[in-house]
Amino acid sequence: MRERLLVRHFLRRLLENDLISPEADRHDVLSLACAALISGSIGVTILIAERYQFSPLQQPGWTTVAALDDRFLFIGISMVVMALVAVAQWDAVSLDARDSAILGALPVPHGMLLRAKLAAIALFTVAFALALNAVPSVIYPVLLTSRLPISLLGVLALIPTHLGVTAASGAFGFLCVVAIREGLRLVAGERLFARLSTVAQGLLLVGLATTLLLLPHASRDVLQRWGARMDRVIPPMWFLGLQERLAGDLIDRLPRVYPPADAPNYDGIVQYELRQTHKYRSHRAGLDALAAAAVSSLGLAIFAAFGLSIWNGRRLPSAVHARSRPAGLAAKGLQGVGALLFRRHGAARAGYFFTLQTLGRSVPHRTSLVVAAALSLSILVLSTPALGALASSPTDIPLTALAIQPMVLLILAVAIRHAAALPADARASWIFRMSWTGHQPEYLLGVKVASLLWVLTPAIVLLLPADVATFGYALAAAHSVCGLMLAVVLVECAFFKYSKVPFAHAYESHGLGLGWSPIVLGVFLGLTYGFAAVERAALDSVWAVLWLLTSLGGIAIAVGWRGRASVPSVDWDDLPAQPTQRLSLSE
Amino acid sequence: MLEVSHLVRRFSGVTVVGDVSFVVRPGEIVGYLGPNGSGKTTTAKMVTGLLEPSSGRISFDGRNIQDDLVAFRRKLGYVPEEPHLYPFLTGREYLELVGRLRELPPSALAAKIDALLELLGLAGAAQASIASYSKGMKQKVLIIAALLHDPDLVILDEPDSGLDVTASLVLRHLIRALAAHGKAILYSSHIMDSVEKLCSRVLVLHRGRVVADDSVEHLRSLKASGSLEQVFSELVLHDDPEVTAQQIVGVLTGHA
Repeated sequence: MRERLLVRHFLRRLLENDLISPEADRHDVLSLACAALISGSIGVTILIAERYQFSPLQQPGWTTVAALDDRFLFIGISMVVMALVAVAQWDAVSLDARDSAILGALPVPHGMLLRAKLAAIALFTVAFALALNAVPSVIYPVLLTSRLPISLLGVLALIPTHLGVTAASGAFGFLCVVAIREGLRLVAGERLFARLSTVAQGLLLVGLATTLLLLPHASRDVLQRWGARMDRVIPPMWFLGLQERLAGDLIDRLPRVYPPADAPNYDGIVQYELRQTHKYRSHRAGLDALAAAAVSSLGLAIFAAFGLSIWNGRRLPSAVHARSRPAGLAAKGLQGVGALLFRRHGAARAGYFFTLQTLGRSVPHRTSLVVAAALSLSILVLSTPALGALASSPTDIPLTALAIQPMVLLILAVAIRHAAALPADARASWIFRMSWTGHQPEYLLGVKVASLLWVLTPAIVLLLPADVATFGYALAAAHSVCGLMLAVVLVECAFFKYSKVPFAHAYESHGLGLGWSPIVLGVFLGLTYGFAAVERAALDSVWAVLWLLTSLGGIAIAVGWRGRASVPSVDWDDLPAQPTQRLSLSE
Repeated sequence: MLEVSHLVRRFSGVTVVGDVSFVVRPGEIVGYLGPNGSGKTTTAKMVTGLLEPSSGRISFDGRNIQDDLVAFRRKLGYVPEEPHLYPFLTGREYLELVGRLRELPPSALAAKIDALLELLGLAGAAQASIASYSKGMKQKVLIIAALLHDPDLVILDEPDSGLDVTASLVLRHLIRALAAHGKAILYSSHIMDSVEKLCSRVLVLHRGRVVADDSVEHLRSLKASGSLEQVFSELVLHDDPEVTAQQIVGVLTGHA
């Protein structure tokens, strides 16, 4: 009874995540998350399976080959999304100091606490993996086989196989992250782990988010890469092998229904189907090894995650006591630059330092930047084939190569603008109201400079080696200077007529605006490729580059001046209506 | 001088503070007492401008504070009841943030922060994140943040909560010294001893209304035993605390 209560308590903590603002209505957020999960998976599944509905003559051989790509994508998405969920739950996957403080004082055996925690993790993993994959597991097999001569029993056999394998791959992703976390904790020890934890979490988040964005690209022509040595070590490939081993032949064994022999291109259709069937069957030999790898890797992940959790959980963790750490070299550098730049204005210094502290340490703000970094990294990876050899003149530079930098800068500027709208801690924002002297433009200047110097400029510097390899030293330097000037314009635009106090005002949600995404994508591509085209033309001569830089500087000054001229004074009382306020319960 | 007249605050039609009036003069320490839920914190929030009154007027040095809240807050120091601080900042960083927002000169600010952290025994934890602070340490940070800019009016809402004996004694002397320097102080606390020793005048709030506003000496003279605690019990408690305690023990031991 007590153990069940504890399991419920730990499960609740897994659902009420730190990423959800303490001021937000948790039921509202969870309902939205569930709705997004269900509608998103329906949308993605229909998009993936659409081609089977419009294929003029769907044949089993072609279907088995085409379905490999889809299944790889489903398995990959499940694995990466579940791993991302584990990263988001980072501190909730083991007993922490808060559990020690609250539950350690109660007469509950330590073993019971640990068992309850592990049971909660296991239940959460299974439930979330099933919830994530339930809808696609029903819709996809139906859409895949709706035009094939398959029996109802055959379809019913495909559904649990799809669900089981995708859920298992999701559990594998989740447990791998738990195992990495607990392994790091074991190796580093509690004190060092407390320092390394956020770095590891951030790196995993960037890596996984980038992988998720690259998955559609990676799931093309899976059969071509089936036997390649490199692809045999990719986890989604193991689970794809397992799925094919369990139910792949259900479609392969179906009878081929060809058009009448006198139909146009009859031979071509038959030959194509025979080739596809042969290709698929010739690769089935390797399925056993892949299936075995999937089962054993899942077993190993379970063993590692739970084994390490049990080992690390031998003792309840104690709270990390307040102990000063001397500021590192990087921190001293940031402080020095801030002190040098803003000698006069306290508000500008406050904006500069608070921006750096919040972006670097607050979880929701870091998440914003991490998503932007992942998007940028994906764009870079996807654009690499378009870069080509070293360009001899500016006109030889592919437009895509020049568009990477503005794309990355635009994404980062949007991420900073979004992060600025999130309060660093809504409950602690009272100190801004108490200490506010009305110097909003100065505070905003600090925010802009911090964003420019420590978010956008490092991105330009990180892109520089790739630019040098593609454009050569001189053009790469000119490209970077243009990027720097563009960054100034973007930061000015991001805070144009900004009448709030970044990181201190209550968050005002404007919805996800998914309906606008095609237009946003069009504008994004138009702006970035448009700028790349202008830049390519300008790179032809030094004067043209100077003209471009002067124009960008002029735009930045004009936007900044116009933005400052018409900003109303800060209103601290324009809090958004929260769901519970509709009933006047929280007033 | 802080003047509060006919202050009312309603939440969803429920009156939490009803017709509260008082004055705090420079150099005066006014105690603000009342049981839980009597409206002390709501009053403090209205006086700081964090909450707008449903009706009534708050003025400082003859000016309505709502006319220019920013100017009023330049002269105000506030220690809230709940220690909500940015957990990812260190104690020093938090104080630097407050000082910068208040436009204090950088060199003077750094020196002030160093000295105050040292004096309140926080120097050793100044570079540790606030998330790892105890309640008392957070309270000390709030006290320093409230006094950093040398305010004319100080509002202390249970500032001694979580402080150890030494820090409580330091705080008591500090409040007295601040009053001696001409600061107007509104001091809310549940520690009767502190209020009795520090305050020249005491306001007692009960169910959102002022039930007593007098000097400590005069209030004490109302009861034969002469303690403020007795007067407070008389004014706001309808049940005998000793009987209630006996009933609790009865429930716990099953003899009720």
